[in-house]
Amino acid sequence: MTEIERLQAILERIFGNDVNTLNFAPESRLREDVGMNSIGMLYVAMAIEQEFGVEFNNDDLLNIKTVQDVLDRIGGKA
Amino acid sequence: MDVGRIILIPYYLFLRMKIYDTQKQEYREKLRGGALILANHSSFRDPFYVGCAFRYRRMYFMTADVVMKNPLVRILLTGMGCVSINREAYDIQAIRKITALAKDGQTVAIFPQGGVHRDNDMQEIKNGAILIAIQAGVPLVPIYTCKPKHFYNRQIAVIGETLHIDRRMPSLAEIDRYSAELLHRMQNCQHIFNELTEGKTHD
Repeated sequence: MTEIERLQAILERIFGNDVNTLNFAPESRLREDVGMNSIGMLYVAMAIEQEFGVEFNNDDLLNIKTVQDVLDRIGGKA
Repeated sequence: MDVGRIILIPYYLFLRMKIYDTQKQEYREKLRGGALILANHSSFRDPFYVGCAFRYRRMYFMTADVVMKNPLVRILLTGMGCVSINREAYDIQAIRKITALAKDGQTVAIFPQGGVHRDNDMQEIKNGAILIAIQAGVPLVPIYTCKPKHFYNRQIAVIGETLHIDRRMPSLAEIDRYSAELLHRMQNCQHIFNELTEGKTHD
């Protein structure tokens, strides 16, 4: 599985049908396009930390706006 | 050093707290291992009451960072086991810290109403505590107490049924259901508290 597929799997598991994974592309905005709320954002960040072994700080979460931002952070580019 | 429990000694002697379970029996269980204590928040005395109810354990408190702005207050509250959290941001670092404490076998008190509700209105709680309980793999213990109207009234607290979350990564919809169940248990504690203090003069 690619990183984006693993990320999508996490979102589907956490949000079920409440998140719009049809709009899931690197350029998708997490809030506006994917439909993520603030508690969801925290939960997803925790799940990503477990799945990918990365550690977010508070600024990361403020600056992450799109799926690509998450992928960059997972890949250690941020 | 556990400054919190040292400060609690006069409180405990003065309050003569009596603790009940939801069967209106005296609560005799001893909390062991990591746990999150979920308490109502109707005054700034609540951390002291919660500390008294679990006086046999060192207690940590999730505290809004605005309360800890003053450097002297910050030193005191940190000594008492307060962990500050920024409620206006995604404070994942504070959540990680609290999760680590609970995972390490400590008890952490959280006031899930997200602020002081002086009217004792308990209609809604935040989901953050559930997230922490999932991450740390610890149970959630509801408690209800509020200050007696007169200083000579004995302090009462009601400890509710522990909520265990056995799912490793539940969906947000399931977290909402856990949250609703937890709120129901907290309201039940409030109900029992009101029955126990009926005719007595509590706020």
